[in-house]
Amino acid sequence: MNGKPRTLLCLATTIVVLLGSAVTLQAQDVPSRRGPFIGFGFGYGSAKLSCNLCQESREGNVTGFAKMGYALTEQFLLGLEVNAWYDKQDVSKLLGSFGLSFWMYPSRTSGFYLKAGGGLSKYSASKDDDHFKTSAFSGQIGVGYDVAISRSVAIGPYANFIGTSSSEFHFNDTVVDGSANSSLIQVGLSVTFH
Amino acid sequence: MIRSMRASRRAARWILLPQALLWVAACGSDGFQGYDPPPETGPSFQYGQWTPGPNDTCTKAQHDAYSVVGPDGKRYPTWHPPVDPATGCSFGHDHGRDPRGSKLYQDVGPIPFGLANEALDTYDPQNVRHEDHFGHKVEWENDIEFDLGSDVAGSLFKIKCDVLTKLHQGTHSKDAFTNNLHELVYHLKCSDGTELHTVFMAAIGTPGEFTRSCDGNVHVTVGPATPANSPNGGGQRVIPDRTCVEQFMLVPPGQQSDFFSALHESWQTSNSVRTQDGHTLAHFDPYYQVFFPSRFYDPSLTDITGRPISVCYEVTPSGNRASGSLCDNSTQHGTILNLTYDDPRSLFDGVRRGVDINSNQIDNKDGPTTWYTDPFGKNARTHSFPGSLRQYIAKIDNNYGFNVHGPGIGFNRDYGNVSVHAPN
Repeated sequence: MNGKPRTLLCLATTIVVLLGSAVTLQAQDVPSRRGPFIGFGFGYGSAKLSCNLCQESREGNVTGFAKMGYALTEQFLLGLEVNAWYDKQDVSKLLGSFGLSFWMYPSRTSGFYLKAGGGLSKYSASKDDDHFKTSAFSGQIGVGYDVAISRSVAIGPYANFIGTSSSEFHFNDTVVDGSANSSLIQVGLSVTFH
Repeated sequence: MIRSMRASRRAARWILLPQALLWVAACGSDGFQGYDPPPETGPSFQYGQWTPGPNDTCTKAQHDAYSVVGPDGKRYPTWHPPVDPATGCSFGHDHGRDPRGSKLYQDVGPIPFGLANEALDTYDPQNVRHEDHFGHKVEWENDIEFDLGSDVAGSLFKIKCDVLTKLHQGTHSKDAFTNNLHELVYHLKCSDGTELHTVFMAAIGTPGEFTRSCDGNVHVTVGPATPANSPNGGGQRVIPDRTCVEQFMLVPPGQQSDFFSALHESWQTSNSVRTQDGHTLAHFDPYYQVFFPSRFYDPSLTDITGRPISVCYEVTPSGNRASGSLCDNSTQHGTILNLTYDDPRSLFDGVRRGVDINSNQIDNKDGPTTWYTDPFGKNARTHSFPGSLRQYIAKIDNNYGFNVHGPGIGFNRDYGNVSVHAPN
């Protein structure tokens, strides 16, 4: 399946899952959102590189994240997060980001949350001796739902969008483009330990 | 007679009207928008040179109707089909692909044939270079995807270009055995911002010699070039000679001639537009290929010009002879005797051609886009001077660190026609 239809299908599936979760699981217990937390997630990611020369098509493959932080209150969490998307066909491509994230739970009794963050991002593609890379500031927004499976563990679906500022794109030591930027759409399942 | 001239003028107006409309239509497009044609001042040297031969049915006036005023105000011949669509008469030669189908045509308009030669007349009147009419060959292709020379680059990027080019590539006479100066028109516009609109006398290889087509290590020295001060150029003119014909065309009984190896011509240009201080603004190196031309170099002949069609009738003392479809179809399996090189039935007429676009580098990030060069594309300045040629080079540095190069174009086309014949 081509990248774009596959991405749309995954987004639609995620929305359905999120809505379904919100409806069917709202009455269940939520995990204790106190003190430190750690978590990770895996799923499908759709990455895109944009520049003057770029093909401007999205490419889908495996993605994941890891996070750790501290619950400031039961509704506001702050932490560090690393995201990665990887594609290995003929050429190895990696889009990663690292930064500070902020989670907000609108309801103390619900697992539904909104997320925002910012940091640094790097896109690279390589094969043999050829290596492309670009680094830039990145920002992200996201949404998800935590379903408690115990007092301290929650799982649930999530979706993120990560975008970067424009920056130079290098081929080995040569600047290919002075205004490249990348984006990543992630959908998947996360696990959080409080 | 006067009525005939008036009729010709009326015909000329109708032929030139669409070209004029296309010039007007060019207004409003982005990037290079061509140049407004100045008031006509008179004919160029090239204009009116062609006259019909015994196998041609068009008149000189019908031919001269296909003309355009160049940026210097002079009238030049331009592209026309082998057969005049208005009257059905034949000109007997082809100029390649109809440029009006090129996406670049709306910006550049009709191509004046001989503009750079004319500039050289002014720039260096003691060392002129006049080329015949037949050799002007147009080729173009729209939306061609370039190879990026790297799997990684190819997986991330895409560069598509429109290219329209014209080289004077005569393959019917002894001219190119010695002469390395040939008018080159090169228009290129790519999705990454690379854009070139250039015309100059391309110095292709070394004057006075050529490279043997069947053995690239052999440089065949022929004699002095015209003009005598022709500069050395990059690249080379790869041309067949009698050695190649004997090796690949005249074969023992039972074998088939390898006409491609015997008669392939490859004019491998290496062009640069340079400023006065030697900075290379643009470099591009298209290769122009011709298959089955009507000539090869034969120093044993008084005019040093061998004819492949004559070889079709030849039998060597050892019994070798030409064998294969090109000779068979030209001579109807030997039933037509004594075909001359300029007979329309000869398939050795240079109508099978192609261009390898190769690389196109620009180092002009700070501009300007308009430069004036000498007739060889050198000594570029920002203002015109006597004998200068105007060049357009986009404000870009397209050195990405990987090898962007274009594909071959035109190789699947056959510009032949039952009426086309050498000289072509």
